Amino acid sequence: MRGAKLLFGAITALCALTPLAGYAADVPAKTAASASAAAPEPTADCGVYGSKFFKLGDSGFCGKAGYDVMVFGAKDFAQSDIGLISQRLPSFEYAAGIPMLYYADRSFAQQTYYPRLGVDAQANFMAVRQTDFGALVGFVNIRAAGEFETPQYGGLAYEPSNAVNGSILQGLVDQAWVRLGGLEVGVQPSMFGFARWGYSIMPGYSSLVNTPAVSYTYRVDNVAGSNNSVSASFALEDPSRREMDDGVLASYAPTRAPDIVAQARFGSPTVLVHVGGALHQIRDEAAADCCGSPENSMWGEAATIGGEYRVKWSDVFGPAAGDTYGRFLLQGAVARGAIGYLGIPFFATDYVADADGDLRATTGYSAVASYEHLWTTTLKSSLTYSLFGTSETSGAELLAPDEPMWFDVKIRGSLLQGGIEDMVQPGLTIGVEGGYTWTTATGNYAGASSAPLSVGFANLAAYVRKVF
Amino acid sequence: MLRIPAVLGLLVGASCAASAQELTLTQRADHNYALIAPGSVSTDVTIKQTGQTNATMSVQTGPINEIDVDQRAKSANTAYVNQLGAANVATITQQYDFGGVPGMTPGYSSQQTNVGFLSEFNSGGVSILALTGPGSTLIGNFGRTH
Repeated sequence: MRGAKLLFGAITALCALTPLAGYAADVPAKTAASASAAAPEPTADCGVYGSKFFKLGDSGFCGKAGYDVMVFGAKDFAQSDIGLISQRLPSFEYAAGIPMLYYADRSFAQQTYYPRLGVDAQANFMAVRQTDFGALVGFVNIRAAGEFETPQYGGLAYEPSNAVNGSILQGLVDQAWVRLGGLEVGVQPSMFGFARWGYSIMPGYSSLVNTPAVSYTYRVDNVAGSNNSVSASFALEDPSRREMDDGVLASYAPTRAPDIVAQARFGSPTVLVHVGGALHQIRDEAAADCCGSPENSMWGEAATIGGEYRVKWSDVFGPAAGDTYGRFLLQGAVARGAIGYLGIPFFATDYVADADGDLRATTGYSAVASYEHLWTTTLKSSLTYSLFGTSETSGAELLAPDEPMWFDVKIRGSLLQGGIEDMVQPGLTIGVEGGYTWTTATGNYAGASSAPLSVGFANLAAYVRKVF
Repeated sequence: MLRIPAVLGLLVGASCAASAQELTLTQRADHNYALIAPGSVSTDVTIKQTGQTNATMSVQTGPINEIDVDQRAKSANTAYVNQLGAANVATITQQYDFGGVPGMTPGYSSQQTNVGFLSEFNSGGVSILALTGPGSTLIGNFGRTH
């Protein structure tokens, strides 16, 4: 999680298969995978799953293959940004040292001098058949996302942006799971995330993560004879995908419990509501070795709530609105000791291990508000505003007798994005999107305020995407 | 009788200190903190602090250790000096009715000096300086990628 570049690209595969996600992502809902959906007969034609499904020999499975490619050019206008420096100061009392967090202006002029060219390519395959225990579904999505950069020694280098924990291979396997009924095992979308991070192509401050997990979803369609659906999900997820540590203030021990994640959703033809929560175990080794502190383990926690609403404007304003549609998305998340669930840049570690081994959880929040307007059947535009905040503190430690020291660093940020996209021919879309980012850091050291540091910069991107 | 060996020791220490690595550090924020822990090398460190409050914490474990702390504060000067060498010299001067420079631009710098690893953070009314020896410096960097 830490240090990973945010993915630029397509989100269709990412959000296509979460519970009730078909509502939001304009893809077939997971009817075939629903725990309680009416099961087609085993001999039924594959068309019952969708127009692109075909028979896989005599196996009884139906399959569907797809792939899409996005090529983009982008310009980051940031000359500098806020950099965080973590350090452990000498302590006369504890070998671990006193944790400190500084912030300063960091130049990125060299990294952002040239426009970037990037690609996001995905290929996926789904197989499904009915069994006595419900639908058996297998899905794999291979994804290569990255940018071509100009390193210092010249030339052109490909830099993957979806490597996971430094592993390009792990990033390549975007999703790979098997589902039987409501039980799903493999690399899959986290149950914490909402359907999308806003309607922008570039991510807003919202967490959408694919993670190795075991999950179970119970879903009920046509609630009380209506077109409404509800679902509840529970998952055990890979905690390493969420960890935000720097090896100085915070350093995770290699083994710990899986993250415990739950979600509930309600969907109707016009509304989708999502609530989720997560527990994230922390077992520290940044300072645990020094002092035998009894408090080198704790649980972080995160919660989210989101909603999406679709509207046909002629239903509101009458025929004058024409045949236009819109949809709103609003989502927020809070976290304590689990900053990785906020979907924000790496501006805070999950926790701070004090010199005596005690742990202090970092708190934070993020929120996204987004609107997408469909002007015609092929032309749409979007406007997204995101914000976040973190508060990271240490406990008071003695630099010397009667000389306590601690830090309290707060980062606040927001992001405004606007874009327009046109489908010039079936499956081929072109778009342009611009954004502006604001971020401010403030600090307090042993009760004395440091100076705030603010940065702001724009970014611009244009892309072409072909879906096959 | 006891005074003579002490004076001799001081003279020897002062003589040997000439071969110790020298470094002069200056802080002028409202609130100044200096931590000196260069490890087991001989060092000769001068700290000059001017501010509302000044604090210097020093632990020198080299064969020859010398430190000169010059503090000028509005309200509080604190110096904690610990020297564990064959020859140790410490001079501490504390004066009052001075003030620091408020509103310093946020900045962080670090460098390897002949005495040890030196890091300095200045921001607003705060200055935090640390001089650490080999193997005892742990620093991380993070933030948004571009």
